[in-house]
Amino acid sequence: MSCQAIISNPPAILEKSTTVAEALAILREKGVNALPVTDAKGHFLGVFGLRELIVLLLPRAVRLGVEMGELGFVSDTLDDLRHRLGAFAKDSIGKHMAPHRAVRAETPLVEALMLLYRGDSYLPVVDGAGKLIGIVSANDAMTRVVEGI
Amino acid sequence: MHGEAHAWVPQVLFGLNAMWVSTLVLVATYAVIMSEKMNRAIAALLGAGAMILLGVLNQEAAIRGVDFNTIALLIGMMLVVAITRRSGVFQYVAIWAAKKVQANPAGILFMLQIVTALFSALLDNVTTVLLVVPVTLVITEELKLKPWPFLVALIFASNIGGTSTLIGDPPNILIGSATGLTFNQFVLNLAPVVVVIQVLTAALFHLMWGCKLHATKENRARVMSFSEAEAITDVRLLKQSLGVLALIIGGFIGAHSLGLEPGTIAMFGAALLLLLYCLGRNAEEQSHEVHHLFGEVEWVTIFFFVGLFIVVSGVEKAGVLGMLAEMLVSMTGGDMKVTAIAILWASAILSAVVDNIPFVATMIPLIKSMAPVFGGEQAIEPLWWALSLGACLGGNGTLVGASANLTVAGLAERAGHPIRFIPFMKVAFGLMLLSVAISNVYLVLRYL
Repeated sequence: MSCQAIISNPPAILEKSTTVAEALAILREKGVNALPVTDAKGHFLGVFGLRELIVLLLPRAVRLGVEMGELGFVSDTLDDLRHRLGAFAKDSIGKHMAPHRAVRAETPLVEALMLLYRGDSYLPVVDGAGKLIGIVSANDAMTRVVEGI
Repeated sequence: MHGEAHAWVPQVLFGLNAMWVSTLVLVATYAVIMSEKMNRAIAALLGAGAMILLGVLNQEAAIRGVDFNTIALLIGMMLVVAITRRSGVFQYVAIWAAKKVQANPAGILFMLQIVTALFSALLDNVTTVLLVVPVTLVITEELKLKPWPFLVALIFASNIGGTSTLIGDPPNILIGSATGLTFNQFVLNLAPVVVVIQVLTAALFHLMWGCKLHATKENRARVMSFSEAEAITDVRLLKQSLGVLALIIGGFIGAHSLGLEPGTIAMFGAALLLLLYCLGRNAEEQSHEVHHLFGEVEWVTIFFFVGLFIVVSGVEKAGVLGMLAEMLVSMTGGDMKVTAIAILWASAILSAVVDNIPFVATMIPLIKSMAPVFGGEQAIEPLWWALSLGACLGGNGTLVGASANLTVAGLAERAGHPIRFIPFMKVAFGLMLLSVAISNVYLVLRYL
C-alpha cells in the first residue's frame, strides 16, 4: 500500500515571502506546530513552525548545535526574548524555514510510517516536479488503520 | 628504535627508482590534501597504501613508521577533553573572565585571549576554540557587538598559546615525540617568547579594536547577570576531571625522570577518567557512554596522522630526505644560525598557506639527518625550536593556515557571522610576520 490513500490537505500553506510575524499568526490561528513552505509556483521548499520560531528567541550560538553545550548560565527575561523575536518579525520565513524531507504519493505507507516514527509529525507529499500536493500525517495514518479494526 | 636487523630495503615494482617513486607518491598525496577536494584522511591513507603496494615499504616497515606515541597522546587527550567538557568547566571560566572585567568589551577581548591561550597550552587548539567560541558568540550577542574582532583574536590566542607546550599544538607533539625533547624543555624554551608574543598581540588588538568597542550599560548588565555557577552541570565530574587533568600535567612534567612517554600518560589518564566516569553505572550504560565518548575522538585526524607517518616514512627510507638535508646544509653552508633562521621563516610562510602537520612531519626526519653535520643531536636543539615557532605561529597567517582557524570560521559561518579569507589575511598576515620576527630575535639572542 502506498501513501496515496491517506494524503490530506495541509491546514494551510505558507509562501516563502510570508513574514515571520504573519506566519506566527497563521500557526496560532490554525493551532498547528508547523506548516509547509512553498515558492510562488507551489514547489515545496521546507517547513516553518514553532521550532523555527523558538530558535529566534535564543542566542544565535544555539545554531551551532551540540558545540554550544548548555545555556543554563544565560538569565534572559521574557522581555529579552520578545525583543530578540521582534528583530526578526519582518524577515521573510524563507530565511528561517527548515529543510524537510518530502515523500511521493507512491512512497510505500510502511516507509512513511517509519519516517513518522523517527520524529516527523507529518510528511509533505510532492509530485515529480517537486510541487506540494498534500501531506501524510500520523493522525491520518492512524485513523485509516483503526477504521479496519 | 629501528633495529638494523629489521632494516627494510625498498624493492620497488619493475625495478623503478625508489627515490623517484616515493617522491611522486608524497607530492601527489600532498597535492590532493592541499586541493581539499578529498578528505585529508582518505588522501593520506591512499598515499600510505601506495607506498606499500609500490614496494617502497613493506607492511612491517610501514607500521614501524607510525609514531604511536603521538597517536596515543592525541587520542588520550581527546578522550579527557570529551569527558571534562561535560562538566561545563570551560564555559564557567569564560563567563567568569568576562564578568571579572565588568563586561567591558575591551576587557573581555583581552581576557578571552588569555583564557584561550592558557587552555590552548594544555589542550589541542581545535578543541580549545570549540570550547571558547560558542560562549564568546553568546557574550558578543548580548553586548550587541560584532563577534569578528573577538573571533580573530581567539584564533591568534589559540595558535600562540598552543606553541608554548609539547601538547599544545600538533607540530609540537610531533617534534616532541620524534626527538625525545621533554614537556619541561618545551615550556622552558618556548613559553618565554610565547608570553611576549601573546602580550604584544593582545596590545595590538586592543589598539586596533578593543579601545573602540562600546557596549551600553543595559547590555553589559545582561552579561553581568550570567550565572557562571549554572554552567557547571556536574560538580562530581568537575572534580574528577580537574583531578585527572592535574595528574596528567604532573605526569608530563615528571615523565622524563620516570622514563614514561607522553602517550602513555595521556592514555592512562583517559582510562582513569573513563573509569571514574563509569563508576556506579550498569554494564549497559557503561557501554553506551564509552561508545559515545570514543565517538568524540576525531578519527579523521588520527587516521590522517597514521597515513602521513607512513608516507613520510616511505620517502625517508628511500633516502630522499637524507639527500634533501644534505642539499639544505650545503645551501646554508653548514651555518647553524643561517639554517635555524631559514627553517623558522620557511616554516612560517609555508604553514600560513598549507597544513603545517604534513610539513612538520616531513621536516622532522630531514632535520634529524642534519645532526651529524652540526655535531650531534644536542647541537641541533635550536633547529627544533625554530621549526616549532615557525610552523605553529605561521598558522596564523591565513584562514587555512591551521585547523583551529578553519574550525572558528566554520562555527562563525553557522552562527551567521562568516569570516572571509581576504579580510582575515589583511589583518593576520602582518601580525603573523611580526610574531615570527620576534621569534627570530629570540632565537638569535638565546641560541645562535
